[in-house]
Amino acid sequence: MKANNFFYPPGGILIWIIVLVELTTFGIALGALHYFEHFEEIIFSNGRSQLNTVLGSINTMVLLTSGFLIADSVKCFAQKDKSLKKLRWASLLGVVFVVIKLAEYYQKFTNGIGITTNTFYSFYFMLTGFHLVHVLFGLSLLFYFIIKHKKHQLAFDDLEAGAIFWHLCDLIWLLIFPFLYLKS
Amino acid sequence: MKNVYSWIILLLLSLLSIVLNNLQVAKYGIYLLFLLKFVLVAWHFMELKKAHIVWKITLFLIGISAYGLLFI
Repeated sequence: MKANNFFYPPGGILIWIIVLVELTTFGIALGALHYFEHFEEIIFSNGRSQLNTVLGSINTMVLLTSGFLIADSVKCFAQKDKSLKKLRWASLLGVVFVVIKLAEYYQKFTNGIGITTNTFYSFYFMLTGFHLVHVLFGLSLLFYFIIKHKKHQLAFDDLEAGAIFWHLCDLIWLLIFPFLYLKS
Repeated sequence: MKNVYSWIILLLLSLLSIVLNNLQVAKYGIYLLFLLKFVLVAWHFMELKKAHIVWKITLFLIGISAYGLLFI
């Protein structure tokens, strides 16, 4: 089946429907953030200045690198190179992302900042929290693929669809990062 | 374009946006850099280039709409 068939995009139509729905959902949430910012500009500005841009930027590069490794794993698998070393490294980077994110949360909580602190932090914890849930689900998929691969039971279609979901996590982060972390 | 070149470009764009953000200049330039990264990830890593034009247009519209908010 040709990849440019509408009903058979790379990874399958189901995962692409999920991609579009998730991006739209996060887009609407970002629209709400942007709307509320007009009424509480100082709170949002102060909130952004308190975020750790260094950790956020490191996380951006971690996810981008992980995405590259996943994309290359899929390519190698399609070309019959079944070692999937890059998949393991991508999973490790995913774990690094989670650790950094939890460290950021810990920093906030120990400073008495939580989801109810103000409107900005409500958006911050909800957006990054839902994103973290997606990353954790994506990581579980990657670990599942590694296990399946060890048993020589991994199908290309499954790997491709899982890789698309992982890239979705990347796209969502690329959307929310400038809205939350960068100075307005 | 090979994935490794896309990855290098993405990292360079990330570093550039960090530098620009710390200099507090070119705010809209930073937003455009993120839109560019969004397109690169979708086009090369997600193989959107191989997908039907409807998927391409839809994904780009969503990305542009979301980033467009930053310019409002």
